[in-house]
Amino acid sequence: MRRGTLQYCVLALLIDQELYGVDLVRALAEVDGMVTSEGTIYPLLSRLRRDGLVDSTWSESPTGPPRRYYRATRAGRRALEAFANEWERFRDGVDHFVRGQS
Amino acid sequence: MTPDQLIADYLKRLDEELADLPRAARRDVVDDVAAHIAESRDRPDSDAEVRDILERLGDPAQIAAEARERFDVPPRRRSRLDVAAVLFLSVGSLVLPILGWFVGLVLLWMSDAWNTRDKILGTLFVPGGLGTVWVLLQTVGSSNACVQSFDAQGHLLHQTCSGGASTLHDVVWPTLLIAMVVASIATPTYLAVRLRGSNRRAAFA
Repeated sequence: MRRGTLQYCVLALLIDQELYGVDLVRALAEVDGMVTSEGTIYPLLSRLRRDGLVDSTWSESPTGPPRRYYRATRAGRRALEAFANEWERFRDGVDHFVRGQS
Repeated sequence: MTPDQLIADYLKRLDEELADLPRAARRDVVDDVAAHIAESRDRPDSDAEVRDILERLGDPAQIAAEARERFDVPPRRRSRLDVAAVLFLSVGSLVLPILGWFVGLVLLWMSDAWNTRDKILGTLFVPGGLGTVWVLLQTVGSSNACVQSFDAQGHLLHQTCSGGASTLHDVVWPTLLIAMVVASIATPTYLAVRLRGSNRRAAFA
């Protein structure tokens, strides 16, 4: 389940801001249990880019090598909205049973 | 290893592990991971820092397994052909001298379980495998044969040995043959170990 939902967490982070890989990984790592090994974020970003849900631009860094900044595209925003609706319905449904019975 | 070598080694392994992914994805991931490492370093000469960064990134095989999942590339499977390759290169080269080894060689190069370095190693040590050693033993043995002739009472008249005692026969040949036997056993063993390793890496997916 984490693998299926992680991409929407990444999209959500990239809606209002441009982030490069290390920042994105740090943001995800702040929430416990989201990322087990940091490197696995990069295949995900590559796939999102191929699907047109994010795009990226290279930009010079003040300190080190150039950074690739990622940002959600319009298609990415739509995909996130669709997921958010579905997720709420799903979560409510699960809560109804799991929490209701406990 | 210096920190820079550690990183180069890690990126090379990552690139190899991603061999069966779309080219663009492979390049993206290697570039991003390289940038991630460069970005995360504060002290260029710190060995411990680099090890820590690489550990948090995770094993290259794990990243590759994730990439296969994301890009719908089937997980690497070890077929029986890989095991057959090792068997033909070792036992097969004796049972079916020369030919058996060539069958193993073809299987070795067809497989994606080994990288090119392993395949070259498997090819060079030793062409023909144990079969070659066996054939060489026959030739060396016969060239060393002595022809003896006896008189009617069974006394030795004279003896001619071809080859005879020489450094070539006493030192060079035995050493070479022993080295070849060792290599012919060691190489398939190494390939088998690498095969198990790549099975374990594939099991992550």
